[in-house]
Amino acid sequence: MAAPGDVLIELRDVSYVYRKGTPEEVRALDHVQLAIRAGEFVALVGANGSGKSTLARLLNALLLPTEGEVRVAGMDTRDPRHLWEIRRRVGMVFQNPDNQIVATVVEEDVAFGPENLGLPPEEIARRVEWALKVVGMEEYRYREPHFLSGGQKQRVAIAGVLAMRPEVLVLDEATTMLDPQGRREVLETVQRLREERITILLITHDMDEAALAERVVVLSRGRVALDGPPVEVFGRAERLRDLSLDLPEIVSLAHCLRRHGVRFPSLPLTPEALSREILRVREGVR
Amino acid sequence: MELLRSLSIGQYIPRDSPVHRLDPRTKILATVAFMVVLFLVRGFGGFAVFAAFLGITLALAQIPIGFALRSLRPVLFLLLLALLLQMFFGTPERGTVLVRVGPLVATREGLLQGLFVTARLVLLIVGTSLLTYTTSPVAIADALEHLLNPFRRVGVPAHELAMMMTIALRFIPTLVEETEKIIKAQMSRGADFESGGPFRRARALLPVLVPLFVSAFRRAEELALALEARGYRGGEGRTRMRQLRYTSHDAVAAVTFVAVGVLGLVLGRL
Amino acid sequence: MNGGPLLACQDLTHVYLAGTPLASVALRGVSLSIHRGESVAILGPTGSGKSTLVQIFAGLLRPTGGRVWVGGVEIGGRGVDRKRIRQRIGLVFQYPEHQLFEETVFEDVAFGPRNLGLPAEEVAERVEEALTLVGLPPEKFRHRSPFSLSGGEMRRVAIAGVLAMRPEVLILDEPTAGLDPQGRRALWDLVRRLRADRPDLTLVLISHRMDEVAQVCKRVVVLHQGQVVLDAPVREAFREAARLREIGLDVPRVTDVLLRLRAAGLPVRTDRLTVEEACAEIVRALRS
Repeated sequence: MAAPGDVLIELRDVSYVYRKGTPEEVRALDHVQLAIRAGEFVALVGANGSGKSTLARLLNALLLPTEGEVRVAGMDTRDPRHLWEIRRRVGMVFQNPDNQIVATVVEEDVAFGPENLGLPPEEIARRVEWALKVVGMEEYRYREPHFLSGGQKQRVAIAGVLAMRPEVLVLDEATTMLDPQGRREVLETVQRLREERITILLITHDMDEAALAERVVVLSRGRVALDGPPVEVFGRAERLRDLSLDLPEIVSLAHCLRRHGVRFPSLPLTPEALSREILRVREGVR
Repeated sequence: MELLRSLSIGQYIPRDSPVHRLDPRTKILATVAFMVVLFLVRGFGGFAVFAAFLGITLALAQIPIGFALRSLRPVLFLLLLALLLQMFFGTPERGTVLVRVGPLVATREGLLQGLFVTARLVLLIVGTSLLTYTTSPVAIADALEHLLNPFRRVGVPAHELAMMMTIALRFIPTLVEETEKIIKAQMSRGADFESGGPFRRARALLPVLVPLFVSAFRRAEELALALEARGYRGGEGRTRMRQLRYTSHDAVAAVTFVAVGVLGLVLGRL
Repeated sequence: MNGGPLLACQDLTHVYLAGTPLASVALRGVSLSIHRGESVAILGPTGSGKSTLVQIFAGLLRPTGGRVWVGGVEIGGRGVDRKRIRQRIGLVFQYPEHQLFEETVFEDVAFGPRNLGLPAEEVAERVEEALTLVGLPPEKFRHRSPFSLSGGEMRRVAIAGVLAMRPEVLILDEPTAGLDPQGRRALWDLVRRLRADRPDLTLVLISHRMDEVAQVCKRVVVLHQGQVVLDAPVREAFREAARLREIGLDVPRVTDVLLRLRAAGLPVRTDRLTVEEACAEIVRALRS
């Protein structure tokens, strides 16, 4: 496993073109340069059509770049010899909770990945137990997935990926189809994964979700438009507006308060942080 | 439809009985053998033995006999038809006449033959139901994969067949729910699935079938992507977490079954 | 035409799979009435009975107990002309784009009016009208295959399909499910425009998102475990934000801030749902 801080995933001058050579040719990614380091929690945001999902699929070789190269722990994704190792290291959870679960019983679905790796049965059972515990679904191990809520299904999907012991977990709009309760469950699980030192790439269109990450990468029309800590990225209100992107609600509120003379030392990103700052201001006034 | 959706897949009734705990392969092989033997038996004596055997097995499996007999309700018509056909057309030679209905003649021999055929059908249905009552669909799929595995050399795609079965089983409740939703949505736009002749009703299904197929294809695509992302590349090199193991119980069951089979065949020839 | 409510129910109960070991109670004694021209939001966590309630009103489900009326006519019993009810009540399900099936947009939107037995010219007129209402210019979209459209456009076609029935009540079940922020804004613009163009169209919206719903609805009915726990005008309902959060509803993030501030002793109102409102409220409280 890579040491914290090592470059884990690298996109070197990557472009991806759909339907190349036809009149409907679309350049989904345009000379993207990006590096993700071990242990990072990165949010990837962008409007529909910005190339987010395309980028995600390049990371585990579900798609291969039209130009440039993608490297995972030094391995080139175009090299068929590394394909399965890459897919073990970079796990992915998709948007539709139903269309990822293949078995009729939760624990069997979680076992699917390790079974593909050809691991011995006792090892698989151990991993399944551990993965279910991390996502908080041990009680549901013998249930049929059909009876689970959206949030529970996504947690099972995450467990299924975890059981392969990945280094990176990519969540491709994994909360988009969930109700508020489900979204909460998934985000809590993501925080728990960080404790297991798994690198997280959270692809989302919810800016307040993105504000939870340590680093926000903004894609626009196939290019990286902004890349930095949320405080920095969300400080650029004008630029985001030009890109047709919203600010997180909390940040909008903070900006509005600033305009009315309420001062904060730094930009708050969450309701907790903002309320704390506001109360501090009140103490200062008194 | 609600019932279909909410009931667990298949007619599996989970219980902790010695029958349930048998290896599913034993049960499948026993069921197949049972079906063969049923057609070899010649007399009611054999059926009596088998009926007793099924009754005892049902009791062991903690399945109420009434429940098992109720499963015959949908085919009651078929059974009656078989009986009547045999009664009136079963024996070509002249036998003791029982009843005349116009040009049709029912003979005593025909009646006996009819009862025989009916009895065989009943035993067949209850016997195979026993398999599905005591074995989960997943276990059946697993067992089939194991049983067909040796035939992979001659081109039988055992793993792929088992995968197809499991995926189908997994998605049946989901698709049923979706169908229900589509039907309601189209009904809300005035679609009528009840009135009209058969041709009209078939056409009326288009607004349900098209979206269902579109959705099913989309699901298949997304699922395939998700499976690939989890390292799926076919059955080569795959291991299984759940291992099937024959135990002494299976040996006992096998021996018992052979004994019953022989007894039935013998008594059936008397 | 009487002056009574357009939709009404009393002690409405519904049990799925009643009498079997898998029975589940979806509604337990719901009573409410909705008048013509109202815009009502039905909020509640998953499993609170929202979808069951609207399906009963729409004539798609027969309730297991209680009474329900549409336009003064009781519809709960047998022998009711459910087809007529389904024309009067237009129900747009969640992810409605999953119902599209025809070869062209025109044909799909025409499905409803055709089922009503209307003559071809009227069907065409309604299709044009409906497509215009949802912001899809008929000349551009009429001949396209619904499956070639974007997700947002497909959803609009599905809504047009229901509008073409000229229902008296439009029920939208989670209309913004799965959409990104821009898509959601576009959809609420559509709903607001509908309200403006058709003030007599009664609107019922099911949602999880209090803030979005507040833009369009004047009244909120909150369901929890099959019962009505709140039935009040919008502002009043959102003063109960803390309680709503307890039962599993998502409170807008800015309202969350206000709740925290109030808990810490700052005298702020919590029925502020947008950034501007919350901002003004906080500034006011800090200055006093």
